[in-house]
Amino acid sequence: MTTAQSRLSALTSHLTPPPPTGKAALLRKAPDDVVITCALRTPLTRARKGPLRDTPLEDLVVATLAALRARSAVDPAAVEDVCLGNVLHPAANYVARAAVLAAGFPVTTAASVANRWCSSGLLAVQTIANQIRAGQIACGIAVGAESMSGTPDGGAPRLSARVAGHGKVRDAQMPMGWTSENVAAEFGVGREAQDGFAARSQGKAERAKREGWTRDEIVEVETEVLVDPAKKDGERKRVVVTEDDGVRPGTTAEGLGKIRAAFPQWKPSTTTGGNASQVTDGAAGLLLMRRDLAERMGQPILAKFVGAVVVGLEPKIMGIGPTYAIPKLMEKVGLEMGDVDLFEINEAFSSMGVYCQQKLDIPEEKFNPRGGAVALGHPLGCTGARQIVTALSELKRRNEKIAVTSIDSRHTGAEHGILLSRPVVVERLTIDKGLHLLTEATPNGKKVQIYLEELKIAYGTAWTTSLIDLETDEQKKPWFLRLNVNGRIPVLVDASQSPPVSVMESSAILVYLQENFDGNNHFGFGTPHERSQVLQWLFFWHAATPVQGQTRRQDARLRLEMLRIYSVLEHHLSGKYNGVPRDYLAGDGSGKYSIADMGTWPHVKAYRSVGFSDADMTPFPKLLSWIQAISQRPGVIHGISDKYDSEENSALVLRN
Amino acid sequence: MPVFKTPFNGYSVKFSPFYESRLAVATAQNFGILGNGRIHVLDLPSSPSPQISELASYDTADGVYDLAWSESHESLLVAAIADGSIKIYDLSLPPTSNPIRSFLEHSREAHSADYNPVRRDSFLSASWDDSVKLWTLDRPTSVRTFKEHAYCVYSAVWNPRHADVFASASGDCTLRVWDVREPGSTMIIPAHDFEILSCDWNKYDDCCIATASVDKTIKVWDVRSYRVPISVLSGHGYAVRKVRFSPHRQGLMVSCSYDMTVCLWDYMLEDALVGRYDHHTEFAVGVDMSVLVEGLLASTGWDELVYVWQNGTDPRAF
Repeated sequence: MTTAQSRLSALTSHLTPPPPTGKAALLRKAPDDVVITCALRTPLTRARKGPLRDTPLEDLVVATLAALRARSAVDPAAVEDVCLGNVLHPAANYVARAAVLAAGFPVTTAASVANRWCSSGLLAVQTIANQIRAGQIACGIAVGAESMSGTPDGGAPRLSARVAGHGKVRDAQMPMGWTSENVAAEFGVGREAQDGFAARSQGKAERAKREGWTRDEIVEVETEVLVDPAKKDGERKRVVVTEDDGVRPGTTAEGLGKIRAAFPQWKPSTTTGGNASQVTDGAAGLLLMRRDLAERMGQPILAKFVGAVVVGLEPKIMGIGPTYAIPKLMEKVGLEMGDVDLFEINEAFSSMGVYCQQKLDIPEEKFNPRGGAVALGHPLGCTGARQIVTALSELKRRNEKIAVTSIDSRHTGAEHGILLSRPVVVERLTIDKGLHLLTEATPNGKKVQIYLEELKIAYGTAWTTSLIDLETDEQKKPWFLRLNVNGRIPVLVDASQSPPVSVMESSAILVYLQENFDGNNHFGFGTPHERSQVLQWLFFWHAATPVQGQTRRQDARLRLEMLRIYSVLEHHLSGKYNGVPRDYLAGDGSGKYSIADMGTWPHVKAYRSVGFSDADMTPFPKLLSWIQAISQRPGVIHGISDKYDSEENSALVLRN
Repeated sequence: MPVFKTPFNGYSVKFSPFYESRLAVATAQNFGILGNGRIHVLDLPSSPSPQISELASYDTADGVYDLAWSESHESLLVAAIADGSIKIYDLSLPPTSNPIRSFLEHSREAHSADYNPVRRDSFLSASWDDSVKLWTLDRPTSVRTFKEHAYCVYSAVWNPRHADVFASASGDCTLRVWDVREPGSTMIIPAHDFEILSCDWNKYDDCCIATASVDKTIKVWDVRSYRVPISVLSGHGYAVRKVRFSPHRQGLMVSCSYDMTVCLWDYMLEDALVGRYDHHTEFAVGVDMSVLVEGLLASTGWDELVYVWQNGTDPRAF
């Protein structure tokens, strides 16, 4: 670039600044964000064999829509459009509108169909999100659904000779299995690697099911099955479908290795029924809306839809689409791969899964942590939406923020990537039973953290913590002021009481905890005069805190006063005037470590941060050894650790 | 009040700290993108008159982006040149003897110069090569280079009380505070989400600093607790190019912007925007407040005009 060009571009960027990108920009909240407030799916069951085999597409869609309505309690009239992602149904456009009406939505709720083969579910989400983003609607539902039992894939239609003669068109009309073998051959993905991948998918899915992680993804579906599948008009039986049935516990790579090749006609013939995705029925749905509408309607914000891309590629190796789509998406939003907490990538075939994971260098713990289509099945139109439902549930379980989902999608050669970011925060503070501390790594916060850690060691006391984002003045927001009208951290909420008790002022919190959670007086005293000593020193330091805080202003008068206060502590500890040296501030004899010390120590030990040097502190040897002795306590070390620092533990930070 | 027409586009204007009627203007041809530059030293008329007289002018081979008057010698002027050079001019010498120094160390455009007001023996230059340099007149090379910013440094200004402390504003969206006795910056404030084009210290509170950004706002910070700005001043319609604190009133500030206006603010008031002047017809990029005459303002812009006026009056009226 010439000098003139670079000057021009520098000045131009002052006038039209590029939109901020990167993780921080992405996690920022704006009223016109597209957010997901409800996400769920039906169980996924095997086509022609599972309990959803006789449930037609429309019933799957109605079940999903009804469940979304029930779980979200959204006003159905607020839903302006429903987009159904579906691949195989020859009359999906009839189904979409009919199902919307049958699910109890008013006539004002419109419906459409999205079809981009395997990424139809993603396309449906993208369609609704884009309409919201463009201001066409404020609220909509995306559903991905497929009944592969009812409407199996009949293969490509006959195309006109003019079109069918094009070389790439021939590739795009070939069965999917052929593309899987092409990927295996071209990128050297062997049978063993594929079987290993499939076994891992099964193992992860099995674990997720066993641990109950998928419970909040799935809604039960009440339906009917034919008692005798051969008799289409025969007897039907009511069933309640509650779980996925594609997961095969105990699957091993060795076991999968025995299965014969599914496509012996195409080399290298490494794809099998065991390492390919299953043919499955199922549906998934998401409720999307503008953030400000969600807030107005009191909808819980599960995630923000950040962006999506689509890329095309060679039809004959269609499965490797995510290796193009994901980097493109990352570049567009200014993220690094390492910023992403979770990837949900379709496992159409293990050959593609292995290649994508390797090529993108995704660590195993971030890659389809609940298994993928190999274990759960791949109801074509459903999978894209299903992956988002799964990603959101898993992000929540892990308390993480950023997920990317991607799908390879067949004949169109179009590949999607969609990025989601979940607010890890509780938008409204809900506190479960027990003690909860709202804090941030300041001396006042630390004294309470220390005491809670000490109580945990002494009594096993349990509590939870939220860090307050002082940067956004979260402590001045109404919800916080309801807990502490002073708008300062820390605040202790004791939800073991009914109604919950909230306590402000760090010294008062120490006293509250001592009286209620320290029954054996490990950190307090039984005798009135010793209790009085605790209060004296707590009060003494509480009054000194603002002096120390102001000392940073380099005011000589404040510095002198602060040195006088340190010397009071020094004289007390050294026994200068009563001849009784002591180790701790309160208690008879040499004293006992108590909340008086906890209330004082975090401030005094931070003397450097207020401008005193070690040389300034040499007149206070006893005070320094007191600082040193207390700093060795495990409870103190835990209490001042990084986990209470919002810079280190962004997962705990509360902000709106 | 008087107006002066410059042949090139205005970039910066600075009142002399020694003469109440004197100011210097930095200009650059073709909006500073390509071409020459010229420095004008102007004298205001003693009686009310529309005429500003030119005491001296100096031509440069590239645009002049900023100027700083020496705090120790009334005739010395430091210029930040678009070719990266820092040049020193001595008004007491004939034009042929000027510049008396030329330091070429910055590898890209030098964008600001600021003379140390406490020690009065050194000055800073900020450059688009991402660095800030510290200079003294008597040394042939810079005393130190401060290179931590990740993008253009648009401005570096000394603290008005502490001789060793300065702040720098950068397109990397951070404000950094430095102490020249320390090896690195002592504070990094991610002050805006967009480029920061200017910063200035409060003359009455040595912990208070303002930043002006492409995000159209000016933020006022207390460097002791910089997580939240003390104040966010909104009112400019485009990027804020320069911000200056008043030498006379603690809360008062002046700013100029690509929205072609000059705004006056009192960040201590609830309605902080206390004045707006729309006399420029192109980007307003240079503004200053006189130290010697309370309320005297000067501005320049890409409309090739220099205005000098008393706050509260119409800059165009004379």
